[in-house]
Amino acid sequence: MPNPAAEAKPVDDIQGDGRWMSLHEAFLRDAKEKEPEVVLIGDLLIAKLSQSRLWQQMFEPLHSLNFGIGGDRTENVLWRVLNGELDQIEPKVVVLLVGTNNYDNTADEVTEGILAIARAIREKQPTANLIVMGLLPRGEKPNPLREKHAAINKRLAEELQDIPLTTFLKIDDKEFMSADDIIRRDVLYDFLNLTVDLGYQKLCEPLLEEIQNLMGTFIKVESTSVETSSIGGDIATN
Amino acid sequence: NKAIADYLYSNGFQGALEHFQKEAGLSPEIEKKFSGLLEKRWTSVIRLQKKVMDLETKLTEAEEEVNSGAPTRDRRQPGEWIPRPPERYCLSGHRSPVTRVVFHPYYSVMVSCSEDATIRVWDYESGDYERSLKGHTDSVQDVAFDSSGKFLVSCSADMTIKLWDFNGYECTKTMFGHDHNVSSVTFMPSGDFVLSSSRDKTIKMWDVATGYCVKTYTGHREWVRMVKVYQDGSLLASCSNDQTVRVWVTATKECKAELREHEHVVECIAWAPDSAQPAINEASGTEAKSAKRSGPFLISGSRDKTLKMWDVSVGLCLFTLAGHDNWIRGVVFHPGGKYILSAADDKTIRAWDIQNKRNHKVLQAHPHFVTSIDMHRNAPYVITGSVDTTVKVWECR
Repeated sequence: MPNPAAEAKPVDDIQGDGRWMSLHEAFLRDAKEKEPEVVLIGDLLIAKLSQSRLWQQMFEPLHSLNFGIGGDRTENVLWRVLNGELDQIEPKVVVLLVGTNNYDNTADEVTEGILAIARAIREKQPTANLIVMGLLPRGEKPNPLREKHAAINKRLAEELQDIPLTTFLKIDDKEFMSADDIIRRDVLYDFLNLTVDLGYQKLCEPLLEEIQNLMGTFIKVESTSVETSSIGGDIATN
Repeated sequence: NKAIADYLYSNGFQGALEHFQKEAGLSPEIEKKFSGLLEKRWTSVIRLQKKVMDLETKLTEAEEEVNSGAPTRDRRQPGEWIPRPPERYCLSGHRSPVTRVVFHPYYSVMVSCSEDATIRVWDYESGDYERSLKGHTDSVQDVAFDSSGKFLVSCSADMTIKLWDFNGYECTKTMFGHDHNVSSVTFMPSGDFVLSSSRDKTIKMWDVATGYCVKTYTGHREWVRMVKVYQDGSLLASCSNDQTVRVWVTATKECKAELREHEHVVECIAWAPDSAQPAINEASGTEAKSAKRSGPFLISGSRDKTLKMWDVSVGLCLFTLAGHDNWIRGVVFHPGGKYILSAADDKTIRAWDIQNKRNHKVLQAHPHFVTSIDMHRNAPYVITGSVDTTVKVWECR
């Protein structure tokens, strides 16, 4: 049975300004000209990261490229990977976060979609480290989509475990919720998207640590802690 | 935890390892990717602590300078004047990252080029913008003057090289032949020929009079990022994404030396002036007259964050300078021969004491990657270009 979440498909230009294709072409130009060591690809959760202070502080020093597009479903990211966005460059790490926009596919369909992208990335970049990120919870209170995301994450953890050069990184759901499983608006302001700074910090600290582990280098980046604006503060108090 | 397990394993603490693995719920295998990780992270903390201490010392020094007045030039010889903050000018105008900055050999003028496809001319004494040279259709990667300062040559991601008459600011020739981004260009000392290096893996020599390519040097396995001619024109040095520095005999195209020690792309190179010979000899420990090295000497800067000094006549790396925290993008010798100045993606420029092989001063230069640095051959000025789209002029004292 065909799985629409795993069949590469570009986004239709319904609104009439061709923005999605323009973005894809801008990414292709970047891939031709630039020499990133880290590439992040996915949906709005990745895209909006480029607008936060954390991008400048944490990712730019690592020579990163952001190929996130808001609204992208797994089949759209798959299409972009198969159509040149990972050609020519030789990054050391690729980060993938997509799936929340496939709200109308089953957990298995979305998982298969993500795994198809992981396979495509592996083919394009045989020696890069791939970090597949777990889906974040959504919706103020427990709801079917949260359960679906949990099921997807569980299956991804199992399927990706033994694949070489591939890491599954899941941020604990508790980071985004208060004690009674209610999502906090100071981290997910609309119960779906991360707030700049606090929300992205929860995503990026473990992500950055994993990236630096994989790259085997420890480039100095500024402290991401919102409380102290320099690592000097952290060390001085030890 | 896995990093701790690896540490215990590689230091032979077998009993502690097994116990730890049991308590921490780890599997008995040691994963290769954690090899040496604990030490690396410990040293990164130590480096950060050292950095904090350095910053505190610097702050005290700066406070003293402010209180007692900046050290006067009389206390230091010109050969020791290095750029000091704050910058004299921060010049805006480019709309994209600046890729290169160079001084005019005679006038109080400097030139910058940028990913915005333009070349800008500035007066570095007044801070005035003079004019723009337009013609390239993609990022301009490098610019260079001939020894008279009458001609400027530029090269671009549009795959062409352009020659400009610096009196009338006109483009007098466009040279075609490279198959990819041309990232570096320079004049032969005679001014009759121009050399270029490209992402197409070649170096080419062009006859200025006709605009034709007269020689192609092949051998590098990847993008050749920079090419520089030795002062007498007999040798060329080039550096590449293939992590090597190569030295070529200009006339015969023979590759005289392949210098392989860097662990990442080599971005920039600079030939040492004669004034640097004594310091380089001191640094490489050859004091006895019989063992004195005459070079030529070459410095290279790499994405592996180090600079390496090479004795080209024997193909040997004399010493390595480490300290930058990110990719090194530009390097230049202080005309006095005692220092090397480098610019990097860690947003700093550094002055290195050659004789003692150590970092002499760190300057927070720009809020983003510093892509280029140049020092005037006899006036006390340094210029830097950055991804932040500005060019800064620094006074040396």
